Amino acid sequence: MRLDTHVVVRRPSFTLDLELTVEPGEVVALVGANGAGKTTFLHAVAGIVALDDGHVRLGDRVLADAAARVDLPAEERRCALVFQQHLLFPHLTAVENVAFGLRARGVPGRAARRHAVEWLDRFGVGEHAERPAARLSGGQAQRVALARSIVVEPDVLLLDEPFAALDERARPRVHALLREHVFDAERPVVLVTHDPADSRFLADRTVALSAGRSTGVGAP
Amino acid sequence: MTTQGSLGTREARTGAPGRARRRRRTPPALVVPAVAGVLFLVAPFAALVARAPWDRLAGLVASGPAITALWLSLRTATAATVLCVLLGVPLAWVLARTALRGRNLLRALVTMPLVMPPVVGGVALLSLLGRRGLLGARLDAWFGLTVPFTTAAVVVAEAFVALPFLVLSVDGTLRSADVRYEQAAAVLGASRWYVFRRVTLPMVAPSVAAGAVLCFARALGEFGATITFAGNFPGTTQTMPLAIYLAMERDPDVALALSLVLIAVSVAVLVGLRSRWLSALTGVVAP
Repeated sequence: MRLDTHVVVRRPSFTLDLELTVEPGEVVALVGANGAGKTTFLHAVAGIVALDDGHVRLGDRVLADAAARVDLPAEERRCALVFQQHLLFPHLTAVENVAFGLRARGVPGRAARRHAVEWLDRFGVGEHAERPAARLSGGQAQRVALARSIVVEPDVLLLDEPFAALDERARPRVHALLREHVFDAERPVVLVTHDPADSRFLADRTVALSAGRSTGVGAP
Repeated sequence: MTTQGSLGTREARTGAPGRARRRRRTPPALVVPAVAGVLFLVAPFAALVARAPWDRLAGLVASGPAITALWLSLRTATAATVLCVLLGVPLAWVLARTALRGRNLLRALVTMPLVMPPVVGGVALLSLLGRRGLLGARLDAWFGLTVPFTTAAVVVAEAFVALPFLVLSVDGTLRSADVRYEQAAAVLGASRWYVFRRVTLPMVAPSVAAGAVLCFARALGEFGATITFAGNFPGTTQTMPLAIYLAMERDPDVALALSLVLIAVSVAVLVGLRSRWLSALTGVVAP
């Protein structure tokens, strides 16, 4: 599926105006200083932030189009967004967190749980399945958050600094996990990152963002 | 920055380790009124306990009318609390989570029963639900339903004055709660109703519990609206506060005995309202 966006969001302090197309299976790294609008871009694609202008199209679906007054709610967009601060539900266990999206779509409890456990195992946190999310370490929580977003088989994957909480030794392992289990030939991926190593290992292309505008496109 | 701020206050509270705490003189201009304030709150209760007819307390409390009034009070206050939770939590959600126009006006309206004398609330309820009231006349004509001067009227009166406590408590917690969890749930494909049930409600549950306890306490002590809207019939509408007021005119000893019982129930409520729930009232969601 192809992600075709022109995101315009006006804020008092800056205007985000970014045209970005991500081909099926392509991984684009979005880099730039704090406050450049990277997170706002992801949130606009996911449906948390409304567009002031432009559009978001995914395959043949229009997720948002300011001119046509189309604005699908987040729950109908089939986008996965992994937040910078993982945002696991603190009152649920790790496995309940991962099963959440499946349960919300009406998957029966037992099947949702089995699926969730598979993904926890894949990400190496299966042994913590029954632990309350509030008691996971930063790195464990981030892997659970990745599993939670992937298990619902989203059409597009939006990653917001997903490796910030991981220590240096864990990173290559999670990079490998993403390449092996998450990145495929279909799903476009947008990866916001500070770390050049992330984009070098994972991205097909890097887009630099400064004060809400693209300043350059290139190979990672 | 917020983390640093909260760390700072915690250090200030516990005192830096390894350093002797500096003694500071507390200004008498503040201490004297503070002590007077405590006495003002506590002395009447001390007097009540001292004056209570302890030798015949058991007999007075166990007498039929007292038990009847207490039982009625507990039942109606519980029903009113349930009603408040069922209406108040959704109302608080609408106030805190929708872009409804006139939300601030609505919030002000909701707090009306807090600032209005309860007797006025009773008159207002009669104007609406009384036999010749706006709605009451129709209820009577169409369904043969009469609300005033029944046990149901007691519940309505109590819920009317108690509802704002729950709404304000839950609304405050919802507004200070982190909406990003709800956004994360929505991105995962959860409908707003599913998000409310599985994310919002569990996260504000302590505040709902605290609000419910406050509701119960307020309903248990309700007097003005009840006597105006529900009357004072032993067995059906005469709750503890009404029974105490009436006993005061005939036999003050009975009034003292009943008051002790009500105090005991209130203390039990306070104990039930554990510190965790009290902190929920300040609008901070436990992580």
